[in-house]
Order: sequence, then structure tokens, then C-alpha cells
Amino acid sequence: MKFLLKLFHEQEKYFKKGGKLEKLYPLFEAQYTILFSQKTVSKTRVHIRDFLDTKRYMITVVLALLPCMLFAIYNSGYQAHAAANLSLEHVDIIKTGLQVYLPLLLVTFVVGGFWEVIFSVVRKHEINEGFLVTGMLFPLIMPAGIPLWMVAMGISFGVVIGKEVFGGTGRNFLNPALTGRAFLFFTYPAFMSGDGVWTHMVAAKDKLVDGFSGATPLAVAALSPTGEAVSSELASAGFSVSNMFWGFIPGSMGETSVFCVLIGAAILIITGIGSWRTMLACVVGAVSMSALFNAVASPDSVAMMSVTPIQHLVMGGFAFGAVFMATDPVSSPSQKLSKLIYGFLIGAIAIIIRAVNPAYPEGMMLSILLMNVFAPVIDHFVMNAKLKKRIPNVI
Amino acid sequence: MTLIKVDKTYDVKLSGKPSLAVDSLPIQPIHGLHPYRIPNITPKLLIKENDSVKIGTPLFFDKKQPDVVFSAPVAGQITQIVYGPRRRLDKIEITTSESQEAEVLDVPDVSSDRASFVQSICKAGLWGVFRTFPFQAIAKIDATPSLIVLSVDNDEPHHPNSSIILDKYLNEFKKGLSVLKALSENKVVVGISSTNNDGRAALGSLITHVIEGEYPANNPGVLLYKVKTSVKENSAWTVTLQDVVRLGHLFLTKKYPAKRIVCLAGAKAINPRHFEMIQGTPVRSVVGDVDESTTRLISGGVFTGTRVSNDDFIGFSDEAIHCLQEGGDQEFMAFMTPGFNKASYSRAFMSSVFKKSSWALSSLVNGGERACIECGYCEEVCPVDLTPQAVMKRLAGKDIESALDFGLLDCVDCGLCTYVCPSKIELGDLFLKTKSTLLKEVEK
Ligand code: SF4
Repeated sequence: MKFLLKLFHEQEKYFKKGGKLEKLYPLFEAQYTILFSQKTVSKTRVHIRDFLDTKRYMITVVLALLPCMLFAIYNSGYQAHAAANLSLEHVDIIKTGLQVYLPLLLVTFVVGGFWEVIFSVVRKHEINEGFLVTGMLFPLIMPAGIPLWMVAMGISFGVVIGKEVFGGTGRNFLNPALTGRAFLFFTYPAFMSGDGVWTHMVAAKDKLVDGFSGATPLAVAALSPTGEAVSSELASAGFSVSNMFWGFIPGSMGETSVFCVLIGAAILIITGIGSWRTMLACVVGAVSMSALFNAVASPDSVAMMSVTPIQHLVMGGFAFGAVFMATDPVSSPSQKLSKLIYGFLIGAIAIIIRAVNPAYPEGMMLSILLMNVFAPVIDHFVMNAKLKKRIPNVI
Repeated sequence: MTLIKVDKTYDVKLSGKPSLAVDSLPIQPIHGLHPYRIPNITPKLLIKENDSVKIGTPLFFDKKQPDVVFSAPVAGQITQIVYGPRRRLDKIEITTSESQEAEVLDVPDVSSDRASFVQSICKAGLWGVFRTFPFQAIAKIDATPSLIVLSVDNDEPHHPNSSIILDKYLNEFKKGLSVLKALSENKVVVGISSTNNDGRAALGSLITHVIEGEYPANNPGVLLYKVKTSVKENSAWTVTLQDVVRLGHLFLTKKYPAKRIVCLAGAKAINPRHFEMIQGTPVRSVVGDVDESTTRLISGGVFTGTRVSNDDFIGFSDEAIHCLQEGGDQEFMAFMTPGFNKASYSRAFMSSVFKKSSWALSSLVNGGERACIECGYCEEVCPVDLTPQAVMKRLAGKDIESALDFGLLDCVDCGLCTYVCPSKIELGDLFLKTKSTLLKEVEK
């Protein structure tokens, strides 16, 4: 490592102000600081500093995402093989899974990273580690059957419009990964919804197993003829609560296993990197709203209103969204009380969207984006209320 | 006696705490003063090179208030006056003489009329110990304080143990306190740490508030924030424990009180302990010879101290010299390691599970500067309930007015927000700079 460190020390001068490659400093900084901790010392009167930096912060989120990521690989392989009646040996499944997942990840990082570097160089600031998380999240909220060019479109939109036009990480008020997904959802609905997209097709359509549907639990529930039939419809499609909890079902790649999401949640809460307030409030919001719907549902109201709170929690992207998307510190409000309000509304609105608008069965994505927009407003009111308690100290 | 709980505080558990041993340092061949290090004054000389001075002879005054002078701590000859950039008055060196003669000061009794009383403190070179909130400017000599806030303990790592000071100078302290009471018509708040049992026993009913919390719960600004009941008290005064002792000393002996307790601390300090010494002692005689490229010398604590060099002198308000590891090794892929040896306020390292009893930290900032990610750590440690990141964003948008509404002037400059920030944003520095610009405007 000594040799590598020396190399960096020698090269540094070219990238510093006035050096030949000054413009590429952000790229140099990114590589250098990923490999080695920095030698910068404090220059102000606060002489010591905490060891936590944004790299550690973001890598902790990535760590929390790992179970979902591994599961995404396995499950997309499994779904593909099951649909095509291929070998269900673990090795084969994982091989196919990797073939589905890795290209998605690669395209996301190459294309998204490209935009990050461009904007950093133009703005002359360091490349922000936040992209690590965005880049990890994005493939996990894609359907397994998505074409790669769309992944490229989506992440570009997410990074550029969701983040960079507002001034980069820290100034964006929308979650970039979700922004990218929403963009794809509205521009190419055919690729982002319906029953055909959730499974990676390894065989031609006519070679699929009999009875393959590819539908997600949300779609099944939304299409159930009556409210009373929801549970049995779900059950007969193979979506018992426990199946949905373990997650060997179709859906966006990383979101199906609530079990894996919970491992991630535990990591985020134990390390304090993700807000338990937001997560908890999301659950409370969703449970209250669905319980309310259950109570008022009549035989002729939409079937979704009869989905039980527990089913809602384990269906679709709810858990994943609550744990990994709603807790994004930049796009969520900063005050503790605001986080509770924000989370509650996300949970409640997600259920409302699921119930009243079966055309957008994935309510969680829209609900989070909507509340991202209102996060500053919630903060504003909460902070103002706090200020009222202060004895003014102005000149 | 009221109990005050300060919730948002933090103890970094820094190693190198001074032992309770007190060494007595004799007078040194050369003593010195650094006028520029006294905050918020415009020093102007009253003496020139080669002049002879006694203990207590005025050396320079503050142009903002010409009655406020600063005096010689030793007798001898002025051998050097050094100016820095832009005619900044950097250093006055006094070569000490054999016989340490002292000026006999005219000090009336505490019960005499206010004007002569105030004048005598000024002439003795001690008015500079009165600092006012919110800018830490020297108090106006014709003003009556709405409140004087005194905190017995300084909990910033590391400062002298107050029980050593109270043990040696209890009488002086009591006398000094009566001076404060006379100045403020009895409106004095005396806070002490709940962990300081000796001090509580020694002071008894003189204590008005007992403070519970880690750093910086005992900061006088935090105490003021907790006790103030009206807008008027925003401009309260404050004095340090040792300065109260000095005032008492002056009124008891009618001589300039040049003695101080100063501690040597820090992981890189050899035998960290306390010293009794005369103000203006060379830093070197406390620290010994050190390599300043690997040891950072700080006057004061690690959160608010100023950098000094071994050729400097212990200044008018200095109480501690900290020896901190300067820089350190560049670790390979440090952010991926479990982090058993990484101190953090957060719980993102294994060190939060396997806790160490003390940490030897360095001056490394441990990360690159990034945009604020709204993690909220700074808010969690702000003892006066600010939302530092929100204040910072208002200031970045040049909106000073709403920064003030958000409570900027309650900030006590403790530096904790800067310490915890994962984006390595210099929050404290920004607030301090803004306040000093505001002070200039107010003074105009
Ligand atoms: S600690 Fe730093 S990054 Fe976190 S909210 Fe405060 S200013 Fe922003």
C-alpha cells in the first residue's frame, strides 16, 4: 500500500489548483479518498473531529442494503427459472440472477457515475458519496425484466433532474432514485407495470410453465372481484402473508423480501444512520389508514379497501420504501417531530393511492415523492413552533 | 440552589487529563504578553522598548475604552515589542529583574461608590476580565450588568480542576464574589458541576445553580441560556473562576494578581499536571521541547483553543496548554473497517459497542468537506437548542436576520457541531465569524 500512497502523493500536484489536470480534481479526490483516509488537519479552533464522514455514513446504508441485494440476485434468478421450468438448483438460479442483476448495477453506476463526474467537474466540487446509495438503490427498485437502455434513462433522469439541477447532493429535495423510477413509470408504463415485466424471461413466451402469471400481489389484490375475495385471491395466487414476507415472489428486484428489508432496518436503526421515527411512523400511518379502510369498506367498494394492514405492510414496495427511501436524510425533514408527521403521511397516503387508484398500484413511490415535496413545509412549521419557545436574542 | 439539566451535551473522553499534582514554577528570565490574543480589543501601547516596569505597571490599553488597561505581570525591562501583519501588536517581552517590585494600587473598599470602585479595577489592569454576551466584548465601564454569570467548572477537555483553585484561593474567591455582587447589585449566578463535590462543599450557599451534563453544560453561555428569563439578560456579563480569584486578590492585597493555575494536558504531553505560575511564563517552560510538526500546541481546550507555539507565553486569560497529535497516518480503506479504534458520536463504528474509557485523538479531520446531508447530528449536540444546519443555510443565503431569529446569538461557540459533522462543515467557524462581523456593526 506504501507504493500506492506514494503514487498518489506524487500525482497530487497535477490535480491541485494550478496543476495541469486541475479540472479533473474531483475524480482524483474520489479515488484517492476511497483508497486512503485523508491527511487534512483541522484549521479552526475545533481541533479534533469525529471519525464519522459521509463515506462511512453512506457505506453503512450500503451495508444495510446488502441482504436485499443478495436476495434480489437470488430471487430474480429463481423467478426466471420457475417461470420457464428450468433447473431450481441454487447454483443455476444464482447464475441467472447475476446475469440479470449485474448488468443493471453496472449500467446504473456507469451512467449515473458519468453524470456525477460531469457535474462535479463543472461545479468544481468533490464527488459526493450519496451517489453510492442512489446507485445501489436504483437497480433494486427496477423490475427484473427491464431493458438496460431504460435503466440508463432512469438513472440519468434521477441524477440530473432529481438532484443536480437543484445544486447536487444536499440541495435536492426529491429522492433521486425514486425520481428516476417515477420518470420511467410515467414515460414507459408498459415496461414498468403490468404482469409481464417482473420476471426476467429466459425462455420464449410459449415455453413458460402453465399457469404462469407473473403478477405481483398488488396487481392481484387490485383485480380481485370483491373485497371479501381479496385474501383468497391472494392465497390462490401463492401470496400468503408468509410468502410475501419471505419474498420469493415477483416484484421490483430488491423489495420483495420483507425479511431482508427488516435486517436492513435493524442495521440502520442500530447504527443510528436511518431514522427509526420515520420508519415507525410510516408503519403507523399505513396501519391506521388500512384499518380505517377495512372498517368502512362495503361489499361494493374497491377490493383494495379490504386488504388487511398486515397484508399491506408485506406487499409491494412498502417496507423497502419505508426503510430505505423515506429515511433518506436529504429529502426528508430534519426535525424529530417532522419525521413523525412525514412518515405517518407517507404511510397513510401510500395506502390511499393503493386503494383509490388501482392504476397506480405502487402507492409507496408516489407517496414518498409527494411527501419529499412537503418535507420543507413540515419542517418550517415545526421549527417555527420551536422558536416560539425561545427568548428572542437579536440586535 | 437550582438543578439545571443540560441534555444535549457530549463527552469525547479525551485522554491526557492532567493529574491533580500542582508544580510551582519559579519566575522565568523572560516573560511576555500577546495583546492580539485578547479577543475584541484594539491594543495601543503605553510603554516603549527599554522602559522599566513594575508588577502592575500598565503596558497597553484598549482603544475602544481607553480606561481599560492591561498590566505587567512581572517587574523588569521591556526588551522587545513585536508587531505582526498589519501592525498587529503581537508580543511584548519583559526581561525580569532581580527585585520584583510591585506598584501599590489604590483600591477602595467594596462598599465605596461605584465610579471609584470601577476605576480602581480598570487602573489595576483587571477590567478586561469582564466579558459580555453575546459577543464576548469587554464590558462597558459605565454599564450595570443585568446579570453576571459565573461557572465554577470548565468542562472542556482539558482545563484546570476547580477544586485545586478553590483549595488554594478560597478567600480570594469569596472576596472576588463580593466585588461581583457590588458591581451588579447582587445579580450574580454561580453555577457548579454536579460532579464537583469538593467545590460544592467549599462554597455551600454561595452556589445558586448545580449543573448536570457533559461538555459544554458548564459553559457560562449555556448557564445563561438556561437561567435567563428576559431579553434584557441577553447582554449579561461573565467572568471565569480564576478571574474572580484575581479580583479578590486585588482587593485583599492592593497588588496586581499575577499568579495563575495552568494545566498541561493532552495525549502528547509529558506528565500532564497542574502548575502554579506567573502570567507570561514561556510555554516552553511548561511543555518542554516538542516537535511542533507532530505535536500541535493549543492554548485552552481542543474545542475552542487557539494554536500557540513553544516560543509564545501564557497569556492574560490562558488556563491550559494542550499537546495534541498533529496529523496522522493515512489508513487504507478506513471507512470499510469495523472501526474499533475510531471515536465517534454516532453509532456507525464498533467503538460504540466496545467502548474505550479514553481516546487519544489527533488533529485529523477524518474526511472530506461535503454538502450538508441533513443528518441532524449537529442539532443533537447543541446545548442551546439551535438547529445549526438551518442557521448555516440561512447564513449561506446571506439571510442574517433569520439566522438571528433562529437563535444564532445564543450560540456559545462550543464547537460540538463542527466536531460531529460528517460533512466536515465548519459550522462553528461560520457562526463565530458572523458574530464578529455583527459586533463590528454594533460598535459602529
Ligand atoms: S452535522 Fe453537518 S451534515 Fe449533519 S446536519 Fe449538521 S451540518 Fe448537516
